[in-house]
Amino acid sequence: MVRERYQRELDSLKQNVVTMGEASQKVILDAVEALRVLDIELAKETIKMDTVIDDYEANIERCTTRLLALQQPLASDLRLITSSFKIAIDLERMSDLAVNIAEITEKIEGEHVKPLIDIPKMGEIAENMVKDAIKAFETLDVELAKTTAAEDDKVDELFSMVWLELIEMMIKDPSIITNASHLLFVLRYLERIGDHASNICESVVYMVTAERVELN
Amino acid sequence: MVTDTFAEGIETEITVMELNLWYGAKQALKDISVDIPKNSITAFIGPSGCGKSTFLRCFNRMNDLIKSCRVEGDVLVGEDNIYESNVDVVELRKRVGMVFQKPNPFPMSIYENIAYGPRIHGEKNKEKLNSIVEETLKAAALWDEVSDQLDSPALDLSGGQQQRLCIARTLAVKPEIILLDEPCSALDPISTSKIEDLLMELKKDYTIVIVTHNMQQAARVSDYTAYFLLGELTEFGETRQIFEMPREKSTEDYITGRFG
Ligand SMILES: Nc1ncnc2c1ncn2[C@@H]1O[C@H](COP(=O)(O)OP(=O)(O)O)[C@@H](O)[C@H]1O
Ligand SMILES: [Mg+2]
Repeated sequence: MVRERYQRELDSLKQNVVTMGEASQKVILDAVEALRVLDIELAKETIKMDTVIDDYEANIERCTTRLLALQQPLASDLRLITSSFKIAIDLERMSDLAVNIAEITEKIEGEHVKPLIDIPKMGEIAENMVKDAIKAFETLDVELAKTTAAEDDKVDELFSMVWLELIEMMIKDPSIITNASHLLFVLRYLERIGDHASNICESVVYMVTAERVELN
Repeated sequence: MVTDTFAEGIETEITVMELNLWYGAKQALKDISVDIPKNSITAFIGPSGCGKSTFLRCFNRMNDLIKSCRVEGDVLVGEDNIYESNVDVVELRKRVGMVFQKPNPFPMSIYENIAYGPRIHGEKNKEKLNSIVEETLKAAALWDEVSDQLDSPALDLSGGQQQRLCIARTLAVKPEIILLDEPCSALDPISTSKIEDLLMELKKDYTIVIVTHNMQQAARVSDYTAYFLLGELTEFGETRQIFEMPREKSTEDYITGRFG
């Protein structure tokens, strides 16, 4: 086997992205669960994950820079490296948004304005998108990347639906405005998490086919 | 072989049709057909011994000088079939110039290195020769470095300067095509980058074909890339495509350094 060390570095880069993906997925899961049941402890734990995710991103950035500078990669190697770099940025952004949700959990006063059903559903779809996008990355599965990106429509639909619902509730009962507007932000964050998951799917398609696609 | 069809409006400078070549009983090139586009840089890449230099030498019939060598098939330069028996080979080599791996200036002055070719081809006017020397040295990005020492020996120049002088010497006889066989292999990175910049300038007026073992060089300077393996042209296409997403696994393995 030629370029053994190089191959090992590529493999480890790929593994780092998968690991970061799993961690980001967990951050989203925990953030939404903490919000649902208003578990302040879990929210605090989630917020702490921010620096862990940042470290993952920094490490992937170091690996990619090193590979680019020292190995002058081409073809599929180059596509793996540039895609990993982009995916790490999307994962970091998503985790930031999840942390924002956890911070909102700390701000909610008393009970939620309504039982949270659709928001956790959005969270679940977004979290599954991340899981499948990373699986598509790991297994070079273009089809999975495309079907996963299509899931973003469901997130967008729930976003518009719940948004309107909350606005109507606020009009009827202005006393809930503080808590309800917190939830509006949560909606926005989840919707953006879905967008980042689709970006990851686009990166996967590029990595495998060298085609730059717009998936949503 | 896998090839791209060119975008519309791209003119062909060299047309190769079903070319086969033998050294004695050993076949070195197998059934190669390809169109080399005009005013562009085409890079030949592939493992050592796969026939890149041999193929390059077919474009100005340098292989004629090798006794055991036999060629079948056709090569057109512009419209002219250069393997027809009535072709004037000296004239052909004027149209299709060549630069080698090791800079090989003549052991004479810088001036004489450039004036030599035009003189051989009949130019006697001193004024005219002076202006050819100046123009070609300028075109080869060497004038500013040597204009005050035209009479000093070319062999006193640095390796990189010598190589640019050899390119200038080729330009002096007004060729259409410049062939370069690993022109930077013996040069340091700065000289290499000067030659690369020069080639990018020259392609406006000339068609350039370069053999290189440096993948990054091929990726940097060329518009088209041909990948050779064991005497066959296995993949030819736009350089961007070849280095981003080669179609053939053997090309991918070679350019990513896993083989060759
Ligand atoms: N003058 C020659 N006489 C006999 N065989 C030759 C000669 N030149 C090259 N060959 C053979 O032809 C094949 C292709 O060589 P060459 O064109 O130099 O390859 P490359 O430039 O890709 O390294 C090799 O097997 C080489 O040994
Ligand atoms: Mg050679």
